[in-house]
This record gives sequence, structure tokens and C-alpha cells, in this order.
Amino acid sequence: MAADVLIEPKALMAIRDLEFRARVVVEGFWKGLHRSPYHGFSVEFSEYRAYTPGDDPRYVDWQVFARSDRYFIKKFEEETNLRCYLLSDNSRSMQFGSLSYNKAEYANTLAATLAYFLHLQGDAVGLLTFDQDVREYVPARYRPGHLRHLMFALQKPAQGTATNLTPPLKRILEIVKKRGLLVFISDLLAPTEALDKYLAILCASGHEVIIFHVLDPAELTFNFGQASLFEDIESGRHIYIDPAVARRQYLEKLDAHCKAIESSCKKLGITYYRFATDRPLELALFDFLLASSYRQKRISRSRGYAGSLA
Amino acid sequence: MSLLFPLFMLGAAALVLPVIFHLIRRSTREKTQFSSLMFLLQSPPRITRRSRLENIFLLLLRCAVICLLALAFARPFFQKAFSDPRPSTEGKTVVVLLDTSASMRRENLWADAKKRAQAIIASLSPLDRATVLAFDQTIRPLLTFEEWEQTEPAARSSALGQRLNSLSPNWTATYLDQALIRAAEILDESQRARGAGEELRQIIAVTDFQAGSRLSQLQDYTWPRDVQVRVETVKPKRPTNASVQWISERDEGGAVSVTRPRVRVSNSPDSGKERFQVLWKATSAITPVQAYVPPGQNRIVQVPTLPEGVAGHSLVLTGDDAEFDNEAFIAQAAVLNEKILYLANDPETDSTRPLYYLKRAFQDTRRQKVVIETGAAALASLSNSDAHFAVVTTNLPPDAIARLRQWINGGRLALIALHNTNMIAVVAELAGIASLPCTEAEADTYSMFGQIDFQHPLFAAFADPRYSDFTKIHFWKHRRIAAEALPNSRVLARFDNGDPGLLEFALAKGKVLVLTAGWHPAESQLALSSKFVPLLYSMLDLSGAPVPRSAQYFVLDTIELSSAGEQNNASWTVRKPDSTTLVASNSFSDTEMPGIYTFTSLQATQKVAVNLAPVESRTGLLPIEELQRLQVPLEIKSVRTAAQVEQQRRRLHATEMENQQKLWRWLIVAAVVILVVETWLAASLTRRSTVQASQA
Repeated sequence: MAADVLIEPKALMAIRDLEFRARVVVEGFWKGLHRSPYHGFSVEFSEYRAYTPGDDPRYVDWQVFARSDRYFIKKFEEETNLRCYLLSDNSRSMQFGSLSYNKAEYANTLAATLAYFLHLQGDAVGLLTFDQDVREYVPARYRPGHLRHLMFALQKPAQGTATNLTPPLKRILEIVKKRGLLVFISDLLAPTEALDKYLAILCASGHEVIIFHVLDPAELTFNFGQASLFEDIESGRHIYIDPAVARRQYLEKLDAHCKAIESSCKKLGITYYRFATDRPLELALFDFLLASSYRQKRISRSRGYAGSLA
Repeated sequence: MSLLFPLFMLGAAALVLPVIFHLIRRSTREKTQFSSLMFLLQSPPRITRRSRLENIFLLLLRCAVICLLALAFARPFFQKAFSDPRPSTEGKTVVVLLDTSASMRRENLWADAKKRAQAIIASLSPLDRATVLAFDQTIRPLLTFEEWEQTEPAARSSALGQRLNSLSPNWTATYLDQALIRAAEILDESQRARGAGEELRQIIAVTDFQAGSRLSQLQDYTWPRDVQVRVETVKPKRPTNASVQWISERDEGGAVSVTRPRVRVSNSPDSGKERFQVLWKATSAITPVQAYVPPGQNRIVQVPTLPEGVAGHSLVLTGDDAEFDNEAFIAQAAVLNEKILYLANDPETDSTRPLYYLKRAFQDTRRQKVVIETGAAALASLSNSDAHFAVVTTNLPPDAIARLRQWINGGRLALIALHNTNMIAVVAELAGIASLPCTEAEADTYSMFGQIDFQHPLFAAFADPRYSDFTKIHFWKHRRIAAEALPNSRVLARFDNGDPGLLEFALAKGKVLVLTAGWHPAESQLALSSKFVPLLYSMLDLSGAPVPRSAQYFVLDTIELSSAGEQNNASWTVRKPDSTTLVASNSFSDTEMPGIYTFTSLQATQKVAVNLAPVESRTGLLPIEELQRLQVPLEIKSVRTAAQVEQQRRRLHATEMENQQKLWRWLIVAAVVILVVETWLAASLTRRSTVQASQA
């Protein structure tokens, strides 16, 4: 996609209304999508449907018409309804941000964007925001006004004082009985062993999990200038850090941490994306669709035209 | 510029501290929030290569403050030329005191003292001045300042040695206080004579510093400035010393036996022995008596009796190491038999007569027995000359008066108590005048002595205001004589109405006292008063009767040979213990050595024992703190070479100059000013940087 089409998150975040933010991203995304040569890339063909007058002629498969002289509509993935839960980490560490907005706001915006997109697709979207405990819970529904409910819940600012993933994950498992899609947006700044445990729990329950690992650009590059006392935003602990000295080791450790998470996700079959909070949200949406299409590919191969997922 | 305490400049090494802090300075006030410290480890503070150039100036200011502080503590000053105020031509003045008391007779002490004194003299430089005095109870110069200056420096020690060879210790006590005071006076006089300024003055006492040294006169003495005293103590190799003293008085009365005397044996505190023997020197037939005396104590020992016929004069102590105080001389004090002639026939037991009171006035004492001859026996005794005092209370026949007169002429005293006016004939006869008017005084009321000549030896004992009150003695009757009628007479006492009460006139070598009243109760209260007996004894003294003396004297005591009578010039021949003979008249003070002194005169022979002063036997060492207590300026022993003294003087000079200049104050002020500037600069820089940071 052309870079000039993408909206700068800085400018995006200046929009105060979360729903409007989401709409801007999604509509911008659609526009881009239609202009892109990869049109249809992110959507997977699932089955044919007989043409009935009124359908969008864009989706007529002309090759099939050429062969069979009948009109068939391509049915794409997004047409199949799915249940999706967005899990947004609003813990204390997410409240760090070196830009004009912090990670929690970005995560919430991302969640809002995904919710909007999925709602447009006709999917049931639920929400769970958490810090050390479950903060907001919106069950997955597809009803008029549900989106507004979601936006309202997402707009609440992050108030967390700590990070503890166990209660929310336990809660999710209790709530989400039927298999669905779990989108986990977090900075994953927790010990790797604990994370492995959590992710294993999630996967064992049969859910499909996508992890968006969002990190602040400062966290990713550690471009601090002066040596100073670094204060942990969560625990309040101070350490004297000279960035020039500590950067390399930090990056190494961060890299190792991320790679460990990546490998665990790969082992568990979780889709993992990592990006900084200054990356335009359209790209995140792009990644999401990519992940969905991969998943659908796996399912369609195993199932064939088994029908829609209930 | 030079420094008084250069060691403080090491404090400038603290300069390195601001430099270090400048380099490793971390802005600990800056805080950065971060999401998690999971991947971060504490960085140690290190010297950043990026040193802030804008703070170099502040660093320099801080270094300057530290430098100024270090310099201020080191006390700089500007060295001026050091001129030595004391010309090196000055020496010191030294007085050497040599102890020649009896305790120096112990074994090696005198030789040591001589060597010490010579060593002291030899150690003096040619510029010094010294004098040497020998002291015990008196002070004798051995080498005066003039002799010192006249002698060649090399010959001074030997000159002193020659004088010392002829010197040896005496038998006297140690008057150390007197010697020290005299030495200080000599130093003072010498300094004033030479007009010298600050010179070192020293007194060096070479003595055995015994506990028996007298120090009492030092108590009130104010020492002159800059005089130092040093005591060179000579110690005996064997300090055991016990002494023996004859106890010649007994408090309870009773006779002191010469054949069986009691002695006190004293042991010095630093003795090593405790058992001694006391024996008679004259004979070895008597077993010595053992005395056990612990150190520092004394015991009284009864010496065994001398057998009949053996004359013993001294007791000897054996068993200790010092011989000088081991002999005690013993002499029997003679009991004087004095005769008083009473030329009347009063019955002795009649209390209305004067004789009654006269007899009771002259009681027998330990040393004197007075016999009063009366009546015819007295008259008969006028021809011989064994009595000295005659009392006349009645009128005498002319031949008796003539014999009395002759008797008085030989140098006697007669007391004529006028009981009636007829007795004036006696006075006139004796005085050699034809007649003397004499009347009975009116007796309506009593008289008393109003005017007394206390200058006269007769009343000299009453001169003290405590005893001079004669107003209690009332005279009922007296005779009136015109004193002018009696030639060459002296009125010793007058009644309150002016009549002479007691007159005295001379008669050839003798004297006559005329008392115009009697002393028996009918006449007056004189016999009943407490002044009667002393008055009579004064008259007896005046009469030239020999004075009873104590049995034991000490060295250098004066022995009174005759009474206070001027006319009595009896000559005595004195035989000293070393068998030399001298002639003495009234008193004898050449008692330099202990022993038995024999006094022979025409009338009598007497033996007197002279012993060593007991205080000289206290040979324990005196602690030097005694002198300190008496505030004697003792020399502080400082082993300093001339170079060290010079160095100390330079240092004092430097300190004085620094005290005058006091540059350190300016340096402190400068340091404070720079600190203020630095604080203000640092504050303004920080403010500027925070403003910049907030603007960014």
C-alpha cells in the first residue's frame, strides 16, 4: 500500500472520539484495499453461492461463468460469522508511552478498530479489558447498539496499578465456552515462563489466538540520551541507568524475550505480531486479516466446504 | 613567604575530590519513567567522556576554595630577617652550693660530692660565671666570682679542687633553705652589679638531700625571675643509719641518772637493718643492750648501769653503716649550791618576818639548791666568797657594815630592805656618805609601784605587757628617801607618789639594792604576789651567781657561763673534746664538735655534753616534691642541644611574626567570597538548564 494513504497514529490519536477513530481507520483501509493490486488478498474464497439478483456484481466469478454459463458469487471468509473476543491489556505497564499517547490508548484504539471492522463484517465481537483484574467485560453479540457499547467500554481510560494476567485469563476461560477467536493485545512485559503458562491455557481450550505484541518505540529502540534514574512505572523502583552503556544489553534481553515468546507461540500455533505504537493501525488491521485468512486456509483444507461455523 | 605549619598543605590533596565529582557527576535528580525494568541492570557510575565544559569554571572555583583553605591552615607569613637578640657572648651565672653538714661524713658521700662539684665546674663554658659556697648551718664562700674571673678557664676546676682538699664536713645541721636564699641573693646582686639583661641563672646544690634538711625559711620566700635550682643528690651506697640520743630531761621530775641513762635509738626509713646494740664506750665489761628498731621508727632503751668507780661519758651504737651519729655524750648536770646570806636573826617559822618568805621563794630545783644562812653564820660567811647575795633587813653594827662593804666590793650584791628609818644608817655607811635623810611616809592609804625601769636587767623579765602590771601589789608602809641624796644611784622603781621604791648603786665591783619597804605582810603584799619569786631570782642573777644550765647542748649552741651581771667577768678555761683549751668569759659558742666540754673557773668545774643535733640523723632521702611544694623554681630537665635551642627560638620568632601578620584571615575571607560566587553561579546555571529543558 502506498505510504501516503496510511494515517499517522499521532494524527489519529488526536481524534478524541474512539468510534470515529476506528471508522477512519477502517474506511481508509477499505479504500486502500480496493485500490490495491492485492485486492482480495486478505479475504479468502470459501465457497460459491448461486447468484441472485441484487448481489454485488463485483463478486461474480467470471471464470466459472465462462465455464458453466451460470452466475456464481464467490463467498468470502468474512461472510462467515465468527465470535471474536478482544482482550486489551490496560495494566500499569501499558500506560507507558514516549509519544503523545501511551500503549494502552493505542491498544484500545486497535481494539476499537478491530471491533468496528468485525462488526461491519457481521461478526459478534466481545471485549475484555483487564489490568490486575478484569476491568470491562462485554460479551460477544451482534446487535444494534452493541458497537456503541463496545466503544464506550474501550473509551474508559486505563487505571491499572499492576499487571497480573491470571485472573482475566481464568475469567475468559469461564466465559468463552464456544470456540472463537481471541485477539490478545498486550505488551507482554511479564516473565516468559508465566506467559507460556497463560498461552498454553488459552490454546488448550481450543480457541484460536492472535497476539498483538505492542511496544513503545522507546522500548524497542531504547533511544534515551542522558543517564538518569529509571523508574519502573509499575513498582516505582529506581535504577540508575546510563543508556549508552545499558542499551545493548537491554536490546539483547528484549530480543531474547520476544523471540522466546515467538517460539512459544509458534509451538502453540498462535499467530504473533509485534509492532511499535507508531505504526499505522491500518497495517495492524492488515495483519489481522492475514492471520484470519491463514486460519481459514487451515480450516478449509481440513474441512472443505463444510459449511459455516456456527 | 613561608609557612608556619607546612603539613597542612597536604590538605590541598583534597583538590582531587571536586575533579572526580565533576567527572563522574550524575544527575541524580533526573528521573525517567519506563514501563518495566525487567531487562535493565543498574549501570555503575563511570567517568563520562562527555565532561561539561560549561562547568569547568565552577570546578576551578571549587578547587580554588580548597587551595585557599589549605593555605590558610598552613598559616603563611612573610619572613623578616631573624636577628638573634641574645648575643652569644653571654654565658650563664651559676652558684654551686656544697653541703658540709654532719650527714656528709657518711662513707663515700664527701668524695662523691667533691667530684660532683668539680665536674659541674668543669662542665661550664669559659663564658659562664660561677661561685662555690660551702653550707651547713653557716655559709662560707669557697670560690668567689672575682676569683673565678681571675682564674684561667682551664685552671678553675683544679683551683676549686685545691680548696676542697682542705675542706671536710663539719658536725652541724643542714640549713638548706638559708643556703638557697643566700645563693639567690648572690645571683641578684651579681646581676644588678653587672647590669646584665636576660641571662640564665642557676643554683646547683650538691647535697645528700636528707629529710633532716631545714626548709622552713623557703615558705615565704619569693624567688627572683629566671633563677633555676638543680639539686645534685649524692647517695650513699649503704643507707642504713641509726642514731642514738641521750634523753636528758624527764617530764615527771625525778633525777636524770648519769649512771643509768635512757637513750632513744632512731632508725632511718631507708635502712636495711633493724637490730642494733648500745654499749658504754668506756668499758667493755658491760654487755651491750640490744635494740630492735624497725626502719623509720625509734625506740627508747634503758642502758645498763655503770659499775661503781667507772666513769662513763658516752654511749656508742653499733650495727649500722653510718658512724657519725653513733655516739651520745653524757654529762651530769651539776646541781648548783648557792648560798644566800640573811643578815638577821629571824625565826624561820614566823610568818610575820621576811625570812619566812625568803626561804619559801628559793625552793630546791633540779639544778639548783639554795641555802640561806642566817644570823651569825651569815655574818661569818662574809669573809669567804662563796655567797653572792646578801639580804639585810635590820640595822647592823658598824663592823658588820664594814665587813659587808668589803664583801660587796668583791663583786657581790646586797639587798637592803628598809624596815624602819634607822636602817638608813646602813645605807649611808655603805654608800660612804655621812647621813641620809629618811622619813616614814604617810600611810593613810596604800602605795604601789607607779614607775618601773624595765630596761634594767632586774625588771627585764617583766617587760612583757602580760607581766608588767605591778599595780596589784600594795605597799602599806614605806620609807622616803631622796634619791638625789644618794650619789650614783639609779632609781629602778618609784611609788605612785614619786617616792623611790627600789634604788641601786654601785660599790666598787658590787652593787647595792635598796628597797624602801619590806615584803612581809605588815609592810606590803610583795611577798604574797606572784612577782616576788621572779624578782628574787633576778636579783640572784644580778648578783653574779652561776646560772644553772641544761645538761645537754647541741653543736653550735651557745653555753651561758655566767649570769647577766655586767660586773661578773669571771674567766673560764674551756677544754674542748679535742683537748684544746680556750678562755671564755660570759658565754661560749665555739661548740663545733660534739663531745664533753670541761669548764674550769676559780670556783667550780663543770662538764657539759655537746651532742649532734638529732635532726641531722634523719638521713632518709627528701622527695623533690618538697621543693616543688615550697615553689622553688626547679630546673626542668630538657636535654637540648644548642641547635635545638636555636631552632626553637627561630620557631618562636616565626610564630610571633605570623601572629602579627595574620594572613590566614584574608585567605579565609577570600575562600568565603569565592564560595558565595560559586554557589550563585551554580544556581544560575541550574536555573538556566531547567528553563531550557522545560522549553524543549
